[in-house]
Amino acid sequence: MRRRIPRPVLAAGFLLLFLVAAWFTGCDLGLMWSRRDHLTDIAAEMFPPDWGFLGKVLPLLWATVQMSVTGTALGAALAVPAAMACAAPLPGPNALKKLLRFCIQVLRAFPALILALLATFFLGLGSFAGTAAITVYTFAIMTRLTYEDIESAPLGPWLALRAMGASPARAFFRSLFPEILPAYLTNALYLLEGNVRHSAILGYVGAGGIGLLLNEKVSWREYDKVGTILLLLFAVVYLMEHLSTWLTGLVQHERTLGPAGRRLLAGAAVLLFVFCTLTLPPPDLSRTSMRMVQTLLSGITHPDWELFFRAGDSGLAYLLAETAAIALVGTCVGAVFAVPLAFLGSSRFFPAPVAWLFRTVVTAVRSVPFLIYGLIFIRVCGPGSFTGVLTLAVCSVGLLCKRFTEAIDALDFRAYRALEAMGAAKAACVRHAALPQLAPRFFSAWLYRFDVNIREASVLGLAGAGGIGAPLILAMNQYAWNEVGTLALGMIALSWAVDLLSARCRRGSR
Amino acid sequence: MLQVIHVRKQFPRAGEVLRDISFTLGEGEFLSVIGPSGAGKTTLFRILNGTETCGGGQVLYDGVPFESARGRAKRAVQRRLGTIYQDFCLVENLSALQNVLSACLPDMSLAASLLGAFGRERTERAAAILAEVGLSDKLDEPVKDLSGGQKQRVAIARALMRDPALLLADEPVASLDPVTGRQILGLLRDVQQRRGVSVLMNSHNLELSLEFSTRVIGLSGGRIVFDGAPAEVTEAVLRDIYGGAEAAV
Repeated sequence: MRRRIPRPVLAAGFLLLFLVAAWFTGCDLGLMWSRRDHLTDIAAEMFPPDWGFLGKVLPLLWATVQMSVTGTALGAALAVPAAMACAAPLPGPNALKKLLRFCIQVLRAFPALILALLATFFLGLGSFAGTAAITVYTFAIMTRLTYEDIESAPLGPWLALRAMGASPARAFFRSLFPEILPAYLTNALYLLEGNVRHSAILGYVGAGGIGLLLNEKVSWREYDKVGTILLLLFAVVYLMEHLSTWLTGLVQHERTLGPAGRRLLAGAAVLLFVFCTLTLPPPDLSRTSMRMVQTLLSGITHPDWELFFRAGDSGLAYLLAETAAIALVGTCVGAVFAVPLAFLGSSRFFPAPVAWLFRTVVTAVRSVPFLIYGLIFIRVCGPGSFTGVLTLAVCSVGLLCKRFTEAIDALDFRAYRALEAMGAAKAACVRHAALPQLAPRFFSAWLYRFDVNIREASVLGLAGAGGIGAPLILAMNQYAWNEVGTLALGMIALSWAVDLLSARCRRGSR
Repeated sequence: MLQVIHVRKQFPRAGEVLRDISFTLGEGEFLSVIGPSGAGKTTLFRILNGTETCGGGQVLYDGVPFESARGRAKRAVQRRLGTIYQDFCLVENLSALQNVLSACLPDMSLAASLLGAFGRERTERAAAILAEVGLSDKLDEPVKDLSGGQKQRVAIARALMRDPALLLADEPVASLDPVTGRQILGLLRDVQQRRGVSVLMNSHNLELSLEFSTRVIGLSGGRIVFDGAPAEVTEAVLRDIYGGAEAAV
């Protein structure tokens, strides 16, 4: 057995790393406190929202939903054959599996926004490019999750069908697929929910949806109109989350539906998908040429090695370190605020109305696109990585809180009740019976968020909030494809490193 | 030490679950409450450990009314009770020692309990009690890695850590195999004799209940139909408690 590092040493090491990262990103709480009035400036100007603007917002909001529905459905569907080709227990040459997994890993390194920017070069401006980006983004994540599920599913029934002479595909759909279906649908619903949020900002790079209008109104400082958009986005995200929770309950057999209801639901889902897909505007290929694609590919495959090895704050190493530091500090700060909020949002610890109120507030926090937070924090702290940290922290509060509340709702209360029956105070029961059970789940959610934030941190550059994003987007807009190649290589390496690290942490925490 | 006087309990759907239950439990007694499913054993148990209120009557611990006590007064009585559950109710990913130490929480200041500062004296006492229940080599083992019998030993150690006057055991061997179940009841009897603690046990397992207890109460349909020594439990008594079917077996 390998020797394990003692926990206090691990904790001290992590704290040191956090402090170094906080110093590196220029975290300055004093500055924030002295300029705290600016925090509420924009928020105050958003109210009352301009309701006359509604007519202009609704079609674009629909385009946003359309992009996420079609993108998620297509990406998730394509992920099934890809996952079959990647999964170790299914037949197929090993080399091909390795290659496919490598490609998935490469795709996973990029956030939806960067994929959308790339898509606009091929498919022109508009929702088609956005839908393509959401499809690829969903495809990469779903493939990975699905082949991991296949690998951990029991193989007995599959082997039995194969032994009876069934073809691999038929045996898969008759044995393994029903086994992984609940997890597959749950993941797809999760992604659908997240993709609505992602789609809402794709307009910033011209890939359709409400983002373009949001960007315009923000830059013209018409904050009452921004308020209208944000309120509508909140409504959509709120509805989507409730729908997705309801459907997840159905998928996991926590609630049931009669056969007629099931047929109706399936019919409605198919109809929605078909309608969303058929009404998508066609791609604008007028500016796409073979030559452009060639330049792009040759640039990306010939990275700028000078940038790769450059020292100083414009070199790749510095940019990656900055991105990782922003993600680390942002996720940690977010988690610190998310823990108490998650308890307040759980009806197992607080009365139902209180829990509902806090859940709704957290949903509202979650529904605001991160660029809006970026803009608010830039007013407070100016451009730079500290703004990135704050932006990511607020976004993480919203998303982590959801995961944490789910963990609390699934808590086994027996030990808690036993301590309560002995006469221990409530706080002591939480500390000694609930937290020890929750810690591994919280850690796992934190790790997942950190993994995602590493990618998201690279988009912060759009708001001037530091990290690798600003130079990457600049290079893409200037068609400097060799630089794009270098920066992309760096992002792939970073996301790979974090992936390995988190796999190791998961094993260690088990 | 424990007096149960005319206790009743009614639930909106299930109707009257306990009808006029009265008995007293003396010091150092090992009392088993037996009866078929739905006889009211679990409800009685919950009323006795304060997790359920009673619909009428009184529960007195050393003459102090418990069923009407709230807040500090209730906790003062609860501190003298040790409870053992069928499903152990331990924190699975904490060590055996930490689980036993959690029994000290009611006596500690809020700050100390939040910091988990149990102190050397308590830690040594917890280790000694774990040794007493035969787990001296499992102190730092996470509970999830222990067997069912070992988990129940940890739960007994946690209850003993409170130095209780009365041990309440709710189906303590129902999740265990017969051999381990016998060992656990043997341990409970040892503890009862060595420390002079009273034990009140709910059990489905007739054979073990008769073998280990000093007194048996039979519940049927929410009433006490038998109260006496195990030796007095005859076929006729069993028929009264369980109805025809089980006595024939």
